[in-house]
Amino acid sequence: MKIVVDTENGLAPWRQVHDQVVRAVTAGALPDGTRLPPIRQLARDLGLASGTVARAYRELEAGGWVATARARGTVVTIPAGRPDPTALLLTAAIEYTTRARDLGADVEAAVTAVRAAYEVS
Amino acid sequence: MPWDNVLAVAFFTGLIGLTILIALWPGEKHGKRLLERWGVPDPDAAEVALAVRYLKRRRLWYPWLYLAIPPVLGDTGPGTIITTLLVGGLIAELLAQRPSRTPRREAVLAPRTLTDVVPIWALVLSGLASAGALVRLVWTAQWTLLAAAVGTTVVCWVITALAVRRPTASELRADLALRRRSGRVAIGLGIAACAAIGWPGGNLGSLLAVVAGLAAFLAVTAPVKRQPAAA
Repeated sequence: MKIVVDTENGLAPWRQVHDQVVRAVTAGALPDGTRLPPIRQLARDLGLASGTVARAYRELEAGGWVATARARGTVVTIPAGRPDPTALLLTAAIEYTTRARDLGADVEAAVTAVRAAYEVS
Repeated sequence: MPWDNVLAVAFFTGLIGLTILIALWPGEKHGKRLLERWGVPDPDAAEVALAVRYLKRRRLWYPWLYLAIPPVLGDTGPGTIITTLLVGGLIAELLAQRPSRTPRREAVLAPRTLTDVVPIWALVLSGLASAGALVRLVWTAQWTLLAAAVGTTVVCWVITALAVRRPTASELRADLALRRRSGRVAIGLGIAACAAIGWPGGNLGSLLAVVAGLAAFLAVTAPVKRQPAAA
């Protein structure tokens, strides 16, 4: 699971880290119990200050997305009432289908566009 | 020594160093081959560029170290070669610690540990080789060689630790392969060096130790057929 931070996109780097972890947990890319890298490792890899990553982890912990245990480090937790990833995917698909229909695309053209998007992203 | 002699020695040393540097300077072909050997099949252009930069960071230092080390060590044989490789590797890993300054940075959301880079059996073998050499050299009171064995072990483990620690590159697959290469070559060299330093003397015992050390080096740095995806 990769994380990308762009220091020129206007969003605070801690917020970018926070949002990407939330998205990954919601989408099921980071299952319950997955260990996150230590703050210092992630900060070094992303060229950020340790305090920046520490803030992202603090906010994640406050939101119930991760838990910090001394022995295991920071691990992903499932917050109560978190949406089902399959349901989220279906919602996104419905939104995309509506937009594709508006553009006059049939099923095959829409699926081809999805495949192309997977290849470039 | 008169000044004109000093200048002549410096000039010829520089010329030899430059010749070695040109011969060693890596190109795309070397980068591609390196990645394929360390488990990255069909590397793309960005991965090859990363591997070439990795090789350049090392090879830039080798000629100058190779020329500067013999007067310091009083050795022109395998000791100089191993010291050159280790010191070159150490400088390269220290340089690689610099954080990325590009606006877009990538990382893997997973903890990175020593055993991700070097297998546990190689670390155990390194510990055994170092401990064996140290005990034997203390027992036979060979203090200069003891210092060499301690220094070699420390440098090898520092290189490995730095290879784990260094910031990630965007090309995650090649990045992991190059970390593994750094760590495994350093640990392998350390085992071979400790075997050679710990059992000097030119007898059957020392010959067996050197052969065992070389076999361990080859096993630790054996080609990796394919590595799992980094992310």
